Amino acid sequence: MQNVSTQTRATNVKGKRKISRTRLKEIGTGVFFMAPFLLIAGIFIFYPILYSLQISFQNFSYLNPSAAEWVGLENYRKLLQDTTFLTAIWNTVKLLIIVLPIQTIISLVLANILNSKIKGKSFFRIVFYLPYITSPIAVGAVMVYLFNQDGLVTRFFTLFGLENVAWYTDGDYAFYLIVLIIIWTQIGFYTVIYLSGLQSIPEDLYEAARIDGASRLQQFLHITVPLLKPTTFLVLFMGGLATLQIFEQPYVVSTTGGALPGSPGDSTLTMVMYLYTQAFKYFEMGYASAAAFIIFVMIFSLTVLQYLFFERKNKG
Amino acid sequence: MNTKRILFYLVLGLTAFVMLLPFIWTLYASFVKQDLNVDTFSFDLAQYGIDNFVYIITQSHIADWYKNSVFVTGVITICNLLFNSMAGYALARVRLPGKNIMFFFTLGIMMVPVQILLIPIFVMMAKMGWINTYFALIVPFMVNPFGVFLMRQFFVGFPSELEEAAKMDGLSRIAIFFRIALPLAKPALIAQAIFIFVWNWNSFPFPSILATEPDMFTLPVGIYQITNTAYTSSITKSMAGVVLMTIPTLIFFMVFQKHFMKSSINTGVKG
Repeated sequence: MQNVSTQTRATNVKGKRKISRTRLKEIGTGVFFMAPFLLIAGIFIFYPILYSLQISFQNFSYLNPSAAEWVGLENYRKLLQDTTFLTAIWNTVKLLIIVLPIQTIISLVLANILNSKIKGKSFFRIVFYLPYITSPIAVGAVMVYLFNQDGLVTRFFTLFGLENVAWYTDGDYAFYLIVLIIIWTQIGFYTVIYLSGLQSIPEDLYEAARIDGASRLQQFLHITVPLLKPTTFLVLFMGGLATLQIFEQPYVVSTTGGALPGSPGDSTLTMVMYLYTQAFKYFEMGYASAAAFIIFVMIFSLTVLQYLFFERKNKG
Repeated sequence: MNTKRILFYLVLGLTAFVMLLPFIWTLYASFVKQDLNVDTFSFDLAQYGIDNFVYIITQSHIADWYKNSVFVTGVITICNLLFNSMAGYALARVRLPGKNIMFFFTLGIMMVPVQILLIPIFVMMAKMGWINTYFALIVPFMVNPFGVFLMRQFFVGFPSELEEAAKMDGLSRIAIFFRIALPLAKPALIAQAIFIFVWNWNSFPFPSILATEPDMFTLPVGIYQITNTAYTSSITKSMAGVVLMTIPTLIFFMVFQKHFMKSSINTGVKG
């Protein structure tokens, strides 16, 4: 051992020039490999964040960017008094509160059923996953018609006492149409995540429980649910982030027939929709940037929280 | 025991029905000739035909949108595969000063919600005169921090003996990367290709502001115009457009469905 290390040291001293040249070459290669990513991400992700922050303190019109005036915190002050923006935040939070528990429980149950001895497992998995990869624009357009007056699903729900109305034209119905669309789109994805979590639970735990006489329900509540806690956290975080950023589906549904985004009233207006409409319909880009930054801070903190949570888990 | 089994199949079957219904209905509606008949099923075959498809193909720019979507998504996917893999490989394998900072940079921008980039990217593109060009639809999306992270994790967990051996044989780093590392990274590349393709094929907010001329639309933007403006205002014609747009994703999904499940687990659980 001693011998080997002295030997290497000897060669190191002898070939010092040569080694530093290979080291230089290594650095050159590294720079070459990193350059395209760093360059493009720097220009189109990192810089725009700073630029957006700058615009949010200005009275900015894209038609004449050089005429932008600094207005300090004016945009932010106006925003926090803007009832439409507050409604958009409230709608988004309401979506979060309603969607998260429902889709998490459904995914958990479906994953558990799929994990038992069942035929056609992969068929069901494929079918459940389909909505998740379909364009949200297409999904929104189709749902509008399925939930139209006299539409197939609308007529089905009249059996349970709901009215035969076009769901997108009525405030409460429109909001719950968005809820249904989000859940329909997402549960297949979270079912797959839960399935992979389930497969990491060792089978002998269940065997031991069975020997002790635990019922299937007891096994589910005392083994499956506690051991899936990290997966559940992941599903909640990811679902939370996806819902906070929801845009396309409510946008398509509410603008059917040329109506204003978020209509009827502001019942389906979400945070990102508000930002998009202010910026690209009314061209209030400074104002919209301030909204973007508030949304950014909300979403970013949730993401950092998720990251810290799983980092700690991975380490400990 | 048996009743439970039946209950399980009932739940799965019902869920599958709910999941498939919109797809089946869309396909059905796209073949119904008259909007009036869309909600009443009929065995009268004269009600059905391919008129809607003919109308959409001849009367809208859908051929352009297809071409744009295929080209834009294709170029974006290839660039991402190349650039993200290069960066991920360097972060995992190359001894480089400042590597930790670069890795934190990658993690940091991974957490940025894309919506905040809408306004600045639009303004930047307008300034450069790139609105309604392929540059605007492609260049900002050529790299993706998720892809870099995915590739880094793959190479960190992958034995490097083969690469070391190649190094002994005097192959340069760049040759090792392209001829040895990249072919071995096929599973990670497929996972990456899948989510990059699907994200960009379905992407709506960015293309909708970066392309304003109908012949520069991508499919989601074009389909949105068809379904949500008065210019067709027809349910059945809209559904024909939706069918044409959705078919490529479904085919792509069917071909790669095994990898889809794996990649959602990789990007999800480990990310």
